[in-house]
Amino acid sequence: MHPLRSGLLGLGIVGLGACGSTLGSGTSHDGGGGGGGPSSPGAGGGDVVGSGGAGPGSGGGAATGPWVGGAGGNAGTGTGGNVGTGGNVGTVGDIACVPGIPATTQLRRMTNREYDAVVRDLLGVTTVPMGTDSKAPSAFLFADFDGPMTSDAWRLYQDVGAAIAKAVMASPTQRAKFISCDAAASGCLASTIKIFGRKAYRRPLTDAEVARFTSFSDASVGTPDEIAEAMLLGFLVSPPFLMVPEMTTTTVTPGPSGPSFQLSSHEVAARLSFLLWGSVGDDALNSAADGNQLLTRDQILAQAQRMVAMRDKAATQVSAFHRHWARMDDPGAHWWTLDHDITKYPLYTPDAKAAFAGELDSFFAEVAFTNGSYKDLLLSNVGFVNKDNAPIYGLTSTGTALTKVALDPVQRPGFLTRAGFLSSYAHYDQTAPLLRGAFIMTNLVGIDTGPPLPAAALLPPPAGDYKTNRAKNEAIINQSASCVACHTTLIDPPGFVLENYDAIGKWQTIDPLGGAIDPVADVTFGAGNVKQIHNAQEMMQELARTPKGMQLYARALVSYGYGRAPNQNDQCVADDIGGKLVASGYPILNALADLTQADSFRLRVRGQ
Amino acid sequence: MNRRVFLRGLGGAAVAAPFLTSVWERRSKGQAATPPRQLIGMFTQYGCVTSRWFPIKSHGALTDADLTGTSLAALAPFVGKLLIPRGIRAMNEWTANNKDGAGRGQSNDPHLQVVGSYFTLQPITPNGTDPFSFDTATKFNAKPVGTSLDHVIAQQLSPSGTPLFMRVGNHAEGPSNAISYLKPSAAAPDAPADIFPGYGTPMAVLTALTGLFGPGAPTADDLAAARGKKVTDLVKGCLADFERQDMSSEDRSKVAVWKSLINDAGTIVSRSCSPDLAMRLGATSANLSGSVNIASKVTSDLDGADVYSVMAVLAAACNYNPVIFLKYPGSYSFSPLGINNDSHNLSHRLDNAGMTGTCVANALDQLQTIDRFYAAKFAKLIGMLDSIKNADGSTLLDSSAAVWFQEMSDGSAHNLNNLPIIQAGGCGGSFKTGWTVNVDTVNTSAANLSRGNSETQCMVGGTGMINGINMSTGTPATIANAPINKYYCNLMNAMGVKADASGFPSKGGVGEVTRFGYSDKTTDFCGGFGAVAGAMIHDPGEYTALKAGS
Repeated sequence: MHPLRSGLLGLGIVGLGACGSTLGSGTSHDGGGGGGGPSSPGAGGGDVVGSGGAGPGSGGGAATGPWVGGAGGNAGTGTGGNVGTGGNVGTVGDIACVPGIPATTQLRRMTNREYDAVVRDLLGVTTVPMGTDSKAPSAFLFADFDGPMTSDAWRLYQDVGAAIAKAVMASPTQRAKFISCDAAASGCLASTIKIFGRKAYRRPLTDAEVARFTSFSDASVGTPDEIAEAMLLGFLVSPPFLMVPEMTTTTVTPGPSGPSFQLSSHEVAARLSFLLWGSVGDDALNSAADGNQLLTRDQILAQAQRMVAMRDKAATQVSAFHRHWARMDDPGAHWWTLDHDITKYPLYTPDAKAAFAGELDSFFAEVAFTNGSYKDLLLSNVGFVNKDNAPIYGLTSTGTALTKVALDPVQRPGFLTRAGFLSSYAHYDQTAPLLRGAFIMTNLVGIDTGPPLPAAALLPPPAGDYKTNRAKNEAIINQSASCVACHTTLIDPPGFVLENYDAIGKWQTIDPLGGAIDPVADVTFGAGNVKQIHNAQEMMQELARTPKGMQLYARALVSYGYGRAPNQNDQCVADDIGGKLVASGYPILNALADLTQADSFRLRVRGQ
Repeated sequence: MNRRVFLRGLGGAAVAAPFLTSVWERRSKGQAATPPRQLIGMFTQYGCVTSRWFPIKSHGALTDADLTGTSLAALAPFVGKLLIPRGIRAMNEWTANNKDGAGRGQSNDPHLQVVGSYFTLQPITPNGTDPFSFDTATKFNAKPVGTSLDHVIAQQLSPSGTPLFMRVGNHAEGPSNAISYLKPSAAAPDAPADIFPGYGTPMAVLTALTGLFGPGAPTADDLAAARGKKVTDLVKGCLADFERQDMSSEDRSKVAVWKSLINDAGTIVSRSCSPDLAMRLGATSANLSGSVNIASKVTSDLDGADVYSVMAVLAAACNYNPVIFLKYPGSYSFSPLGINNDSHNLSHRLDNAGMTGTCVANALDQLQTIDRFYAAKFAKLIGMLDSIKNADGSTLLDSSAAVWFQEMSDGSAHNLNNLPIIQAGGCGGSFKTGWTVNVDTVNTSAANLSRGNSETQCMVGGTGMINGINMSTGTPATIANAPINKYYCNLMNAMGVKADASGFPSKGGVGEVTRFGYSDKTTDFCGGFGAVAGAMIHDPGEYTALKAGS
C-alpha cells in the first residue's frame, strides 16, 4: 500500500451546506477537514499528488503514493465536491464503477519511507551520519513531492547516497550486504555489480548497465575499496534505483481505457513488494520474477497471500494504511495536535503520545494479522500498554515496550476507545463530544456535517450551573436554531456516547463538573437509521455493521494501495472489496491481497 | 549555475597532497588554502562604439539593468563580479597635432605607438616627427623601449619567467599590432624591446600543458573527481535508456528535467588539473586542430576564439602560468558574423584604414556587432573561470583578475582617454567587484562621466574618415585622463608583484608597486625617449577606489 496525500481518502464528500454548528472552546469541527475528494491532481489529473513537504525530513508520514502524477488518470466522478459550506448536510459521494485501467506514470519515484525501508533491507542501514547528525536517511532527503526531480532534491539524494556508501564501506556487517568478497580480488567487483545490482534495481541488470558499472574499474580512479564505494553511490543515485520504472511494452489487448501493456514479472514483483511490504522483495519473490512466474492472476495471488501473511514484513504497511484511513497523517485532523492539563489529568504526559500512537499501530496490525475484519477494528478489545498509557486503562506496566493486553470488551471496544483517539479528539482540559462525534459521523457513517458557521466558535455557554460537559454543550447549541438540526441529530450524539472517556481517554462515570455521565443518545447510522445507544459497545456494534463505513474503508484501501485518487476504474475494485466486507467478516489481509487481482495491477495504460 | 562539489561525501575535505616530483608538486602546492591568483588579459583593437558600450552609470554599484541595452549585455549574469574602472587613459596618444614636441604623444602611427606603449608605458623608437609620415622605420617598425606588463609580472611570478601569451586566430603580429614585449636586461635604456610572439595555436598551448598530465600519481581529489564523473556518466546513461522508451509526454519531461540537472551538476566542479578537466572544457584534439575564423563554430558551444579561452582557463586551473594573455587580431574580417568589412576599416567607418575612402553603410551597427562578439567572448571566458571551484570554495574567477583591455576608446578618433576597460574577478579579494568606479581626476566618483561620442558615421557617398583630424567623436581630451599606470599598479599588487625602494617592480623586492612605466602623462611621450624633461611618474601609487573595502 502506498501512502497518499491525506486529503485523498476518497470520501468524495459532497457537502450541500453546513449545519452552522456551534463550537465549544474555540475548536472547530473535524468535518471534511481532510479535504473531501482528491486534492489538486498531478499533471494529467486524477492521480495522487505528493505532499510537498517544506524541506528535508519534513512532511513526515504524508508521503506520496506509488504512481504519483499519473498521466491522464481518470478523475472520479462525485469526488472533489465542496466540503459543505452553509446549508444542508451532505453525504459521501458515490462513484460509479466504470471498468477500465487508469493511466499511470511509468517513472514513479520511491517515497522517502520506501527509501528508508529499501536501504535498510538491502544494506542494513537505518541511520546515516551527516555532519553532526545521525538520523534515518529520509530525514535528510527532500520531502516527498510529485513532479520532476528538482536541483535541491537531486543534490540531497547525492549527499545522502554518498554518506550511506561511505558508512556501508566502513561497517563490516553492512559492507557484507553490498560486497561479500575482497574488492581487490579478481572478479569481485564484477560479481558484486550483478548480485547487488539485481537487488537494487529489482531485476537483473542489462549488459549496458553492467558495462557502465564495470567502467568504474577500467581506469585507475582509486583503490578497489574506493571504486566499490563509488559503485554503491552509483547504485544509490541511479534512476532505476530511485524510481520504480515500468517500461515493458508487451501489448495485451485494446480495452476500455485503450491498449494496455502487460507488466513484466519483475515489474509485478516490484508492485507487490512495495504494495505489501513498502520495500524490496525477498528471495522467493525475486525467484518468481526471474522465472517469469508473475503474469497471471493466480500466480500473483499466490505470492500476495504468502507476502501478506508475513507479519514482520507486512505489519508496517498494514498499520500505515489504517493510520491513513483514520486520517492520522492529515494535518487538518486533530491527531496528536495538543497536550492536556496535567493538573487535571495527572496520568497524562507528553511522552504518552508515542505510546498512544504505538498502541494504535499495534492494534491495527494485531487485528489484521489475527484474521480480523472491519468489525474487529471497532470491537476488538486488544490493547497495547507501557508505563505511559497503562494507567489510563487502569493497568500497571513498567518499561517502554508495548505489551499486549486484553482490555474490558464493554469499556474498550475498538480503536475509538483507545487513548490515542480519545485524547486527540478532546480539548486541553475537557472532553470534546463535538469533535469525537463529527469524526465518527464523517469517517464511519459517511455523513458530512460541513464546517461550522462563521463566528459559531464565539458562542459562549449561557449562564448556568452545569454539572456535565454534555449539558454545557447542549446549552450552547440550543441557543441557535440553525445549529440544533445538525448537532442534536447527527454530530453530538456519538460524542455524548463517548463521554464516559475523559479528555485523555480514562474511563469516567462522574463528570469533572460533578454530575453523573449520561452516555445515552440517539445516534444516526444512516438515512432513516437512528437508534438509541446506551454505551460505547452498542455504538461500535452498530458502526461495525454500517455498510457505508465499510464502503468507505474499501475505497480508502484501494486508493491508498494503488496511490491514486478515487476514480471510476478503481471504484470497481473498491465495490468488490466493499461488497465482501459487507457480506461477511471478510479478513483485512484478504482484502489486501485482493488489491493484486485487479487488471490494473498487472496491466498498465500509458498516458498521453 | 550549479557549482556544488559532487563528491563532497566521498572525498571529504581536500586531502593534503603528497609532495611529488615534477609538475605535480607545484600543483599540489597550488591547492593550498589560499588559491593562487591569475591575471588573464584579453586585448582587442580599434576601440568600440563607446556610446553603446559604456553603461550610463560611471560610478556606483552595478546591476544587470545597467548592462541591459549596452554591448556588455552578455556579461549581465556576472555583474556581481565585474569592475568597470572609468576615467582612465592609456599613454602615447597619436593626434594629427603631434609634432614639434606638441600633442599628446609621439608622431609615429595612430596604432603602432599605442599598442607599443599600451602595456610597456614606454616610448617607442625610432621616434616619428611627422604624424602623417609613411616612413617605414617610424610608422611600421618602431618598438617600445621597455618590457610589457605581462612579462614584468611573469618574471616575478611565472615558473617559466614568461607569460602564457596567445595570439587568438594565429595572426602574425608586427609592431602595428603587438602588445607583448620583452627587453633584454642588458640592453640600453633607449634600445627597443623584442616582440614576444607567444603561441599562435591552441594546440601548441595544449602541448605545453600536457606535460602536466604526464606520469606521476594524481592527488586524492583528482581521483575523487574522476570517480564522480563515473557516477555522473552512469546516471546520464540510465536516463538515456529511459529516453529510448515509449512514455507519456509527462514522463518524458521528467527524464529531460533530471537530465538537465545532471548536465549542470556534471560540469567542472573542482580545480583539478587533469585530462578530464581538459576534456570537459573542450580542449580536445578535434576542437583544437582546426584553423577557422575566430567567429566560426568549432562545436555547438565553442567558436574559434573560444578554444583559446579554453586553453587560458585550463592553464589557469592547472596553475600553469599566473599571467595569461589573449591577444585578438587586428584587421580582421568577422565574416561568420555577417560582417565582410575589415575591422580596422570599419573603425574608420570607411572601406579602408586610411583617412579618406568610401563610407560604409551601417558602420556603427557592424561595429557594435563586433563589440558584442567580443563581449560574448569575454563572458564565455569568465563563465568558464567561474565554473571552476577552488579548494576554499571560491571560484577560479574569484581568484583571478580577467581584464578586457581595448586599444583605444573610439576607433575613428583614436583617443586613448575614457578607455573602455572591464575587469571580472576580484583577484582573491583585492578588488572591489560589482561596481563601476570613476577614478577620473577631474570629477572623481562622478556617476555621469561621458560615454563618448561614437554615434557618428559618415554619409554613404562621403569620403572622409570621421573626425580623424578633429576627433569630434571620442571623448573631449579634458576629461577621463586618469593614468592607466596606477591601474597596472593595482593589478601588480593584487598579483603579488614586489617592488624595490623606488616603487618600480623588482624581482627580490619587498614593497608594493607604486610606479610603472616611463611616465603617467601622455604628453611626456612627445618626441620619444628623453625628449621631455622631467618625464616621470607624477602620481605614484594605485587606485585606492578600486580596492576591496574602499
